This record gives sequence, structure tokens and C-alpha cells, in this order.
Amino acid sequence: MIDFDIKLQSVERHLRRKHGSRRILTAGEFLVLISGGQDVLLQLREGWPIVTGQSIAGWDVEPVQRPFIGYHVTNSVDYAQYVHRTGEGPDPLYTRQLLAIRDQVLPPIVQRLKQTITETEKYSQPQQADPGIGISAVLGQAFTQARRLRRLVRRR
Amino acid sequence: MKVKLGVTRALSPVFETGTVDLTALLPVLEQHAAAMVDDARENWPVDTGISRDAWEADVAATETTLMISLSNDAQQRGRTYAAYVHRARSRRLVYTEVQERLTLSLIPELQADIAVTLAENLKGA
Repeated sequence: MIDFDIKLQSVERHLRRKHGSRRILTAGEFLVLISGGQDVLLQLREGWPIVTGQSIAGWDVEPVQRPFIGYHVTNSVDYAQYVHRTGEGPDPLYTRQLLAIRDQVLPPIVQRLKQTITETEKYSQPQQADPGIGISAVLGQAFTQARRLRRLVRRR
Repeated sequence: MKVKLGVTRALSPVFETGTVDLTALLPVLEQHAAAMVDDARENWPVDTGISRDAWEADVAATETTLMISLSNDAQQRGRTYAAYVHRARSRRLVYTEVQERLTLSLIPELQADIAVTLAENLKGA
């Protein structure tokens, strides 16, 4: 059984800085978080040994918004924490996967999330200079963003 | 042994406002439940076809919970056996492949659709 949280604290700081306070993620931002969860899951499964397939299928990555922004990672199979590749060990394989997630997988996710938050905040500001951009145009841009990101989730 | 796949997801804090009617999301759940059953059946090995056809999904939406339950209780001689199904010359249990696709693609797609549907409903409100 493996159970741990990944907290994206720099994203939370970025959100507070841009919005002025903590808020719920928009649909577009949440889709980026979901898509990042797929990347984390792929890394966890990368090179994982398969005999019956139970421990590789046991991995689950849940995007979390509260009480922190990040992921709740679990593997419900009772021996998952002891799995290692033949001829390797004694360190369990998942600890190595965690290092790869921290160093290679999370940085682009954090960057994408920050960019999306910046974009959302930019579009949600009152438009004073350009009277041609109304609320419907702003919402239209936000939903275009959401649809684009939904395609990203589907492409996996 | 029967197969019953369950994954829990916390709803977005948006739902905590109490202004969202979860039953409005029932069509989205039904559509995804059908896609999950299709996916499970499509890649399932076939001998008699009993266990492939036994995949089914239950959908439920209350004021606080959304649920899709995917199960397979195929029986032969009074015993359920879907959990033991494997391909020829492989020890890999096929239901674990179904579970892998669920967590990697099908559930994230469902979450994405719920988020977007919800946002569109709020926009229209």
C-alpha cells in the first residue's frame, strides 16, 4: 500500500499573487491539473514490472484542489511498496519513480499551470482600454482554452 | 471471483456551494459509463463471450455524490470468474488492463467533461 500527496506549493503562491487570494481553479486550470496527473501516472507505470498486472493497475493519481493544489497518489495493492525490478533493489522501485516525478515530470506541469492561471487572470480583469472586448468575448476565450485543454486530456 | 472496479474522486469545491444540481450531470455520467463498458468489452479476450458480455455499469447521481460502478460477474457452473481471465500464454489478468485504461484515460476524460459541463452551465445561469 502506497499513499502520499504531491503539493504544488509554488502554484498556490502564484495563484495567490495573481488573484490576490486563494480561489477555486477554473475548468481550464483544472484540466491542466488533470492532464498533469496523467503524466505522473505514466511515470509511475514506466518500467514497472508486470506479472499479474495487479500492482501496476493499482496506481491512481487524483487531482486535488483542497486543502492543497496537487495530487493524491495511491497504490492500493498491499505489496506495491516492495516491488522492484529483477536484479535491482533493495530500494523499492516507487522511490526512484518519485525522484523522476519531482525532477522531470512536475516542473512542466507547474509551468503549464502557472501560465494558465496567468492567462485566466488576464482575461478576467475588467477590460477598460478596449471597449470591443465584452464579457461574452472573455468567456468565449476561456471556453476555447477549456476545450483545447480537454483535447489534451483525451489525447492520452 | 467477480470484478468490481471502483475509483473515488473528490468533487471540485465548486460543488460545495450547493447551487449545483448534480442530477443535471446524469447524461454526462451515462455517456461515459457506456464508453467504459465499450472499452472493457472491446479489448476483452473472447472464448465463449460470456465474460465479455457481462461487463456492465451502474450510474447514480445524488445531491452530494456522482457514481459509476463498473462490474463483471460472469458465471460458469455457479462461480464468478472474470477476475481470473487472462490471455493465452500470459499470467496477466485482463481486468487489470481495463483498470489501467480507466485510471489513465477514461476517468480523467470524465472529470474533464464534468468540469467543462459545469462551467458551461454556470455560464448559462
